[in-house]
Amino acid sequence: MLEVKNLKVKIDDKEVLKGLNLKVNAGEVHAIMGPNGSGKSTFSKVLAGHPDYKVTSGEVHFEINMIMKNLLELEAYQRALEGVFIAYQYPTEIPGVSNLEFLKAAFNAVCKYQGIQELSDSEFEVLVLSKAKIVELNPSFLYRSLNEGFSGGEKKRNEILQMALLSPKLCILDETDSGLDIDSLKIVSEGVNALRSEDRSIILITHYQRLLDYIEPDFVHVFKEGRIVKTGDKSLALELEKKGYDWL
Amino acid sequence: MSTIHFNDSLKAKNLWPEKTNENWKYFNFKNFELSTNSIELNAFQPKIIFTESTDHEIKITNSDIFISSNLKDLIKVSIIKSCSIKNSESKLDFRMTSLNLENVGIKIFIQDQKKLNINLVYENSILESSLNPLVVLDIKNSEVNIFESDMSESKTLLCLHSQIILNHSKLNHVFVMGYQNSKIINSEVSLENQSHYNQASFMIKNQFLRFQQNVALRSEKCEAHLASFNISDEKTFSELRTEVLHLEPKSISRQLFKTIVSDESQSVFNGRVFVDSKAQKTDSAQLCQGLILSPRAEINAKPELEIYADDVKASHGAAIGQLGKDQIFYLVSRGISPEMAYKILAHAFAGEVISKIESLETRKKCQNILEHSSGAIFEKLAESYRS
Repeated sequence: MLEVKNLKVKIDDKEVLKGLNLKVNAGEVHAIMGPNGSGKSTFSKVLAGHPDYKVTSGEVHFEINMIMKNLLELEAYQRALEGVFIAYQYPTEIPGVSNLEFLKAAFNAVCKYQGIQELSDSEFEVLVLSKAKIVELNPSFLYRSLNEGFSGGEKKRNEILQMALLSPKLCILDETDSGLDIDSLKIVSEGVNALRSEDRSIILITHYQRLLDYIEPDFVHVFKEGRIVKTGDKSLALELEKKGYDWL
Repeated sequence: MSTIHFNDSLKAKNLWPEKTNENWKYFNFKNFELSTNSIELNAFQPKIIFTESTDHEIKITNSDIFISSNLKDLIKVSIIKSCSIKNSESKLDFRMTSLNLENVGIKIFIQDQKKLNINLVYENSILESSLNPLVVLDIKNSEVNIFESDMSESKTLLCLHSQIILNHSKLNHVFVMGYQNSKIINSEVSLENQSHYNQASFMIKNQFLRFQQNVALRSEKCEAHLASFNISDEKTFSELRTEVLHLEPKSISRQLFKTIVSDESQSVFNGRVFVDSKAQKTDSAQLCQGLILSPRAEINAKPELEIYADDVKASHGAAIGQLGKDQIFYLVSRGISPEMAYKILAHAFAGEVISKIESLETRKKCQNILEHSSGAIFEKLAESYRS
């Protein structure tokens, strides 16, 4: 599904990723942990195609129609259309743009790209309401400006709602657990678990082991200074919780 | 049809305004001079012709005025002639330019009508010529919706002087001014006897636009709500000047001016609110918001309050900024193309002006006009986003 080879990335002339290697197969859940500034969020933004991050070397291959293609050659919106989705740590507020209209524009863009007939306004509303139930998002948030005035939990639920609606192949959840109370964490995690499938891969970026109690990963990777320095199973997260990162 | 050269004609009559006679701090008619170099001023001598159209339409063209016959029993129309203004005080003021021309126009009188809809259209189909009508709307004991638009060809000049007199009436006025031609518009609005004036105006990619509107609230409990949206690109100039006069107590005014500029275009908002010493309990608010999309585009805003009463609620403000890169990226990262992302954000910005329109059908019409007319601007912006 995703293969990253020797990826080096700079922002403002500072090298943040210094030779990253990672392979994610279809259906797998990978957790990425690591201290602040180790390059975890940078990795997610590079995959999404953020223009501020410059890839200086390396390759990122992503499976498109059964063929591995270079993701870095695609524009950001094309990556999304091919099935790359980032649930952001701090979702952007956009006053004046209705959440429902935004969701419809994104959904229609994917439908059009995949050659599927777009839904009518009423059909789309039925669909989005059914998906909102998965993350227990109050329907009133659909009619408000995108993320404006949403609490931290509501923003994260809205991210997972988008994920449910767009059915991506690769989901990267960037610190989705930050700012969530225990109940919200459970609801968001259940939403993510409902979207797990054999042909969808998930990368969870997190600081805390508690998210992994709800979403069980197949692999845990530790980022340090722009590289993966250790890989293990779920037990590695428990070890990190006890020992911190200094021993690595 | 006699023709005269626009600038030369005014200068010869000593009617061309001087910079020193007006507050021209941000005014720039360089583009106007460039764009009107070859424009010739047409003497306007229309006839009224009734048509079989089913719409309630009044169309003012270079030759005649066409009126739907189904309006015959609802309104009274007459041709009026106006001569050049000879007042030495006003002749040098740029806003009087539209009156300084030899104008002919129409007077439309509406009385005791409920929810009358009228389309008022200007159509100049002769390239490099001007259309300079005078339009007087006299509305009494009525509620009227007017959709006014300029459907002229590019490279033309609309030099319009309009007078609106409302007496115990409500006028919902939508004014669409586009595209790629020049306009000098002077609108005088007079409100009496608890009248309401709601205006939403859209200024779209005009080569040169000077839109001056003076609104006088002449009796108690009159209300004026003015909302404007401007979008411009290339080397164009658009200026909106408003002067709202609160002359009697307990009147309300609201002004919202939103502008988007890209390339090397310039946009100016000069808004003045005057509150007379008699006009106690006036409630007035004025806000200008701008988005600059290119490094060489420019917005100048000058909100002014002049208050002589002591029991007044009045506010004004201006905020100019850029479209957030993060906002663009958020939309793009969900599969929305950069062109569409710019369009969504710009229309969200315009949305507040569109939401002031009461009729849902008219809102949709304005939305479609904006989408249709501003696409090229967003394509250019998307291009620069990619690079």
